[in-house]
Amino acid sequence: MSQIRFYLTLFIVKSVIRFMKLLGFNATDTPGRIALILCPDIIGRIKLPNTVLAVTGTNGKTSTNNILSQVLRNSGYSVIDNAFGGNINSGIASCLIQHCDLKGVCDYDFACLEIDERSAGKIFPYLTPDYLICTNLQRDSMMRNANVEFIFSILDKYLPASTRLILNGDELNCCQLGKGRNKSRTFFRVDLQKDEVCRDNIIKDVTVCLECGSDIRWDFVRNHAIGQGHCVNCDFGSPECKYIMRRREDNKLFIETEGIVKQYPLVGFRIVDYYNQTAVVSLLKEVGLTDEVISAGLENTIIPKSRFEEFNINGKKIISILSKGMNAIAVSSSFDVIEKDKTKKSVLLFLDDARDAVKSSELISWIYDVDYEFLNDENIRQIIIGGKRSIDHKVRMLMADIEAEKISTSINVLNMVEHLDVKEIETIYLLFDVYNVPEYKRVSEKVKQLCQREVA
Amino acid sequence: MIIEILYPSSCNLFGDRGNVLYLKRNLPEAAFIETGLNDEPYFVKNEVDLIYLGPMSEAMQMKVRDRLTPFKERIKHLIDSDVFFLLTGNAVEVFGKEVVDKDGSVFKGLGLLDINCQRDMFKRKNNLFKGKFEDIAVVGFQSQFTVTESREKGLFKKIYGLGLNLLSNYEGVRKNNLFATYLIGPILVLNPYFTKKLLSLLKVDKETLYLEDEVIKAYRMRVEDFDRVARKQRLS
Repeated sequence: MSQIRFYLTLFIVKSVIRFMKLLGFNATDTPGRIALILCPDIIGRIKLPNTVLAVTGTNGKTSTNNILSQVLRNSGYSVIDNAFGGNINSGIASCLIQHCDLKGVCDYDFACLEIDERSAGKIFPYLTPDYLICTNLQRDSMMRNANVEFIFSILDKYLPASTRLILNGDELNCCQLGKGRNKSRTFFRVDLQKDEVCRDNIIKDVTVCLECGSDIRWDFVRNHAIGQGHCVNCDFGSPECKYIMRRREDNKLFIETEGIVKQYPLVGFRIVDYYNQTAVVSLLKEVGLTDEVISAGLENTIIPKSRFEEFNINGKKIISILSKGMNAIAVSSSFDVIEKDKTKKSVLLFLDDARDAVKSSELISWIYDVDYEFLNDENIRQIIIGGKRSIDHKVRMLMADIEAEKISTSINVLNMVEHLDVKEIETIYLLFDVYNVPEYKRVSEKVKQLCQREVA
Repeated sequence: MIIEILYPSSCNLFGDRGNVLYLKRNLPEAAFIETGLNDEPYFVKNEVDLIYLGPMSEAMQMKVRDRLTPFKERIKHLIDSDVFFLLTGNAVEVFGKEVVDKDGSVFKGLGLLDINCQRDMFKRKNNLFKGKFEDIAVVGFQSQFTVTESREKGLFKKIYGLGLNLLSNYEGVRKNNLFATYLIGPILVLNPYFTKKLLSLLKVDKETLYLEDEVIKAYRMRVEDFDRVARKQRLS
């Protein structure tokens, strides 16, 4: 009976997907939701690709999974992934159903699945990844994720013991995953780079030893407790790492594996990109791919444009960064990138959660976890804040001692560009939230037009 | 004036640091002492005017309780002597009697406040709160795993939101000059009129708050927005 239900569900949901595509919709969550209602254990019934790779973590999982699937495809493997955006159980179900045949077989070499850490309990009972990367476990939207310990407890509870873990050795929370249970736990880290400026962020998710509560002695903290540290009292601390990103030279990344350093084509120039790429290289080497295959795969790999986009209009740079509102660490990281750019800059911020604005009134607490102090930079000539919460952001900026004359607010996001003066400006940054993409596109277009007019 | 911030790096989950930042800007003459988790609190051997403790993870609650237990009598004395305390988020649970988790585990607090809590880690309660402190409208966010039964005086008279629990008419607890609220984040920035009142109770003569115009503008917009959501939810 349950088999009949399974095949019937596959047939119905595949038809739904086809119909949605005919109408021009992306088959993201909805087909999966229908499938889970009709056949709740459908994820466990589909025959998965030969090797299942998963990526989870608070920040960087989308980019990492994207790099991973691109490298494998570039290397000639058949790959399925959930890059269209569904990383909870319904998104995973949609992805698998879309790529399996009517017998429920996903005949591919690899599945590269981005998995929402909060959804571990709804996915891992049905799907056991062969390998799983955890990029980090950090503070996120408090309404959804409460606190890091809470997310850790969910993920750790449901992680299958047989999954081989690839963990960020520079992040002490995620290093504890599978401890004493998962047989294979491999760590990677990124060395402190020459001339790298470490930031003292407002929030650090590891402030004392997670075992005994004593102080941590840090060798270095890159940002937000990402770094190398050890308890002053017990043996708790950063683990021995098998894969170490040593340095970057031009467009090459040098990663050491058990004493041997190899170079790989560089995917992105930010420290977070080094982490994502090192995670991917570590995993693929664990899977058994050679350095040559990995390097060839990385050659044409790019960071998804929806995350980081750069345009050059007659000498003026427009840089867009998806900054995940309500996620203080992601936004602070974007501010860090802006601060390190020494050109004359304008910054347009629109980080309100559009969905939340409709259903509720957006929580603004997180903006006091964000390092607005990074924007107190003489090279920033203008900061334009858009959205309903723009006054709250302005108050926070003033508390960071940013000059009031530099700050403009616009409740209507689309009117932000009216405040923008690009005359003396070399770079314009657009920071937007994951739920503001349509507005971002319109604002971005207006900024481009303004730059074109200015030059003309 | 001496203000002690207890464990600021560990008990600052939801941007609560904004409260300290705002107090610092409003009280430039005050001395702010930030006490680390492994340091002896300043209040143990010295007089203080205000002690602040923000929200923390459930594991951190145990550590904080253990750190404060040796000084329980001193804390009791300070509360009885009308020293000001401001506890935000789940910090109040450390001062309460116990938190009983749905999984059967029990967290014993310091027992300085007559409150009992029930915790369900699978049910996070997120909601907007509006209440009154005397005649001042107070708004804020609650995001928590617990509900609380209190035999203490309530802090804010509930207009809408969860409060201590759905049936309670109050949010938060007040005992002498101890103010404890489950509201999270920078509540002092969010509620300028309440902040003014608190400062006046602290005998601070301050006519205008830091960034008063902007903060009041944001406050008015927020109250309006909260009321809109409350009306919508009531209608639905």
